[in-house]
Amino acid sequence: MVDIENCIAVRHLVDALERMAFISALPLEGTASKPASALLLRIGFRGPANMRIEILTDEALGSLMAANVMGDCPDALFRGRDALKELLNVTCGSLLSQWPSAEGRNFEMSIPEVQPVDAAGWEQLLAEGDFALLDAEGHILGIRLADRK
Amino acid sequence: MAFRFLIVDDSATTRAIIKRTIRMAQLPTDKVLEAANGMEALRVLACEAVDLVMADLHMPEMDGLEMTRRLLSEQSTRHIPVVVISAEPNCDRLEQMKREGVRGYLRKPFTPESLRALITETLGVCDG
Repeated sequence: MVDIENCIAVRHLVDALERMAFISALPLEGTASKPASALLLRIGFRGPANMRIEILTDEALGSLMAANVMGDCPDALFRGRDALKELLNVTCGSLLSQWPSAEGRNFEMSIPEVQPVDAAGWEQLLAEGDFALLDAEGHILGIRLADRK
Repeated sequence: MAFRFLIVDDSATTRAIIKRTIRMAQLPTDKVLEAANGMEALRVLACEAVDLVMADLHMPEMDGLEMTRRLLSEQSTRHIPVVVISAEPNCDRLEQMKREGVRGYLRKPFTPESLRALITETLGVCDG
């Protein structure tokens, strides 16, 4: 189980989610059940450190973000993945801008990617044990930093 | 005076966030136009007058820097200030951006106050 307080990326993720979509996130209590439409999002960065950030979440969180941002716009329902990719992009940029002891902070970020996660994939990702898990207004939201593959 | 803005970002979510933040910042606004990349922005600016362009750096087809170069190279658009709103962490690129004529920079995620400050400073209007 990841210590949320010590996961450097969590603070940036929570801040980005709050500022972008007025959604608050708290440490998850209870079990991390697979949502109907689970997604894994990934962004890599190179520079003083070569790593990737991954977000494991529910597509419905993206739809909620888009609805909060776009209001009654009919497109909002279809913008969930775009909202989640932007959340990851902003989280990564925010994290790298305050990266500890990184001279010059001259990082290069990749384009965020998204892929669906099936039940077996969900179990496997959670079993790896390095996601910090949050509850974002009823939607699961996990984040981890890992070495770039 | 009410301003006309052009938001250039490939993320519809971000464009909506910036539009919402302009409203929250209570800036006098006549019109907010949108474009999904630099190329689209040039097409918009060919037929619409704007006071300020707010652009992302990384976009498909034409990025924010190339768009700024093109705007500055044209007599009809070189007076339009461009500010960048981006998650870009790369200090070298931020310096390059300034050298290329970008007038201001705001890092995502931003607040209504910081967006208002960027706009009022760039447009040289009294904020009070």
